[in-house]
Amino acid sequence: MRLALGLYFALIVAFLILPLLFLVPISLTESQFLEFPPQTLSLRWYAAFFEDPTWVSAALLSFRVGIGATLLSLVAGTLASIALVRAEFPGRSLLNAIFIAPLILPTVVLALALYIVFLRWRLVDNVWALTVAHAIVAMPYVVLLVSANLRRFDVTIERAARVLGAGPVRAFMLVTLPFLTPSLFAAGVLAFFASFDELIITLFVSGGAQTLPVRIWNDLGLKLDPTVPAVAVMLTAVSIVGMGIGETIRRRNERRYQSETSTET
Amino acid sequence: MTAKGASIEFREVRKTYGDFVALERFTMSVAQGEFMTLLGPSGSGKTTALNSLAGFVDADSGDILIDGVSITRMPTEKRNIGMVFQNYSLFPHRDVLGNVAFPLEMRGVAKAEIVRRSMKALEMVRLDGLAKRMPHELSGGQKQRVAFARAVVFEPRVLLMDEPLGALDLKLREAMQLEIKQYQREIGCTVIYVTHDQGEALTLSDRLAVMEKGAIRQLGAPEELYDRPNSRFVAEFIGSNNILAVEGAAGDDTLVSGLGAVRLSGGARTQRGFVAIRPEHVRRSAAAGWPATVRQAVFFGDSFRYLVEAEAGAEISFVEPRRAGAAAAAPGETIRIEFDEGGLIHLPE
Repeated sequence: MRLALGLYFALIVAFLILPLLFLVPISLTESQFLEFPPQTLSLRWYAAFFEDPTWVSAALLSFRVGIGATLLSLVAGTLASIALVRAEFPGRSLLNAIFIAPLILPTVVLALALYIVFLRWRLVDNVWALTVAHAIVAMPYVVLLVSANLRRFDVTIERAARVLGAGPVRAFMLVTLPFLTPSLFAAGVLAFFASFDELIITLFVSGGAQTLPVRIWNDLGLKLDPTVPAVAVMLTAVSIVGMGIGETIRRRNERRYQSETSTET
Repeated sequence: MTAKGASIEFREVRKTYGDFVALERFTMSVAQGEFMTLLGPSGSGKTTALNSLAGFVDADSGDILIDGVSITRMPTEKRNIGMVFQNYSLFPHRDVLGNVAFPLEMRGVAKAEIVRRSMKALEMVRLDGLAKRMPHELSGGQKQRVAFARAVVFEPRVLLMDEPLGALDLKLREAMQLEIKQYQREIGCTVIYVTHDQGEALTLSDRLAVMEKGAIRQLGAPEELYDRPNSRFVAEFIGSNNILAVEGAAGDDTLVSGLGAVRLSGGARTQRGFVAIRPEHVRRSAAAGWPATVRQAVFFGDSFRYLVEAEAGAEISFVEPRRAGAAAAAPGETIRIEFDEGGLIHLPE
């Protein structure tokens, strides 16, 4: 039984990470083609990425849209979470479902709907409109994480700030926001990557502008050279670093609030 | 710190949550510099009363005044009230000094002045050595002291305390009670203190109000409530009491209960209700008194606590201080008990 479970565990883990691990040696090949194992190692395709202006501009566009969508979804998502957690109003659970919907709704449906609206409002091929579209996809992560965290927050700490002289906005900024910082960071990382690797909606509404995933997608249709695995490895590295920083912040914060929440009645 | 306290007045404050009535025509006046305690079980409305004064809950109707000025529509932060919470509610990301400085920062006090006054408040609670510690590095008692320093550093004229000692262990609680009383005398502010601990209420208060179901059942000085409870609820909530149901009357000042006919020195107003006798007003007697059988004798170190059954059926518990050479009564033994003059109180309801 133990052995069977162990085997099952190894299989699942292998299934999850082996494809990723294959990418590393493939990206380090000297050859023109995807080969495994590589005959000779080199950073040629990493250099190729930075030398090709279309790759670089695609990456820059992805960062630009990603950062914009992250900031937008963080602000809107946090404000939405405050309303969903703290306020009592009719239709609250419906509104909650609407905020989470982009996560559940088939992306093609959302993409088609956005495309139709954007056509009518002449917003196709507009970077700002693309950013807003990405923010819609990123917002569920923010709403889920931040509202879960906000529910755990001991409101009396904010009340203490209020009674001791801080107005509602100031009390939120000075007391509640520091508590939410780790979840905002985690939500920000998730939101960023939700936007950064978004392909379907971008294909519909970007009107030819190439983000990184679109560039990879287009490349796959034409030729497949090892630049793509090189890009993939760099993306993986960036996300590991992002998650690592987020986790560190979260742990530090956990320690601070632990003694406060454990005495809660 | 010479800030004098403010007077506080609740006028027929009512607050409901759906079908639940948290406060019902709650009326109370607190004098300048007075230490007033709201005592009651959970759900009795004491915290709602405090929160409506602080501005955390909006009353459905009624009015609250500080120094004769209505504050009902004033936002919380403008009310200039100090408050200590049950869970301390320190700001976890600010150090001790940062916590105590907070109210002064909000009031735009100059930086040097903030540090000077914060350190002075920390000196009062003897924590000036821990100014740079973070809250999670403090013990429960230390956190409570920081919370107290933070609540009084801006010299508010009103200080609210919501079960401030509830999370501390018994020994620390007793020590902190004495400290709180001493600080309040030094500062002179008006205090409204909420607790469900009757011992705490008796020790600290100038006056206390016993609450039940959103209303005050009795309000008065601790001794008054202890000696002359007006109802069975108050008699049982403050201290311990033997409560006997009145079964009839045998004269103007004599009521019949499970003990037999008892004379009340204060007289009886009705022939219904209950008779209350404090355990410390009951004694064993050599010859006179009511015969009773000992059911339980519990050793308390300095005393014995007896539970006896009177011939007429009533169960009475009482405390007997231990004296050298005196033998304890054993369960099953028949003894005689008598009561202190004036120890029997008639509770009309």
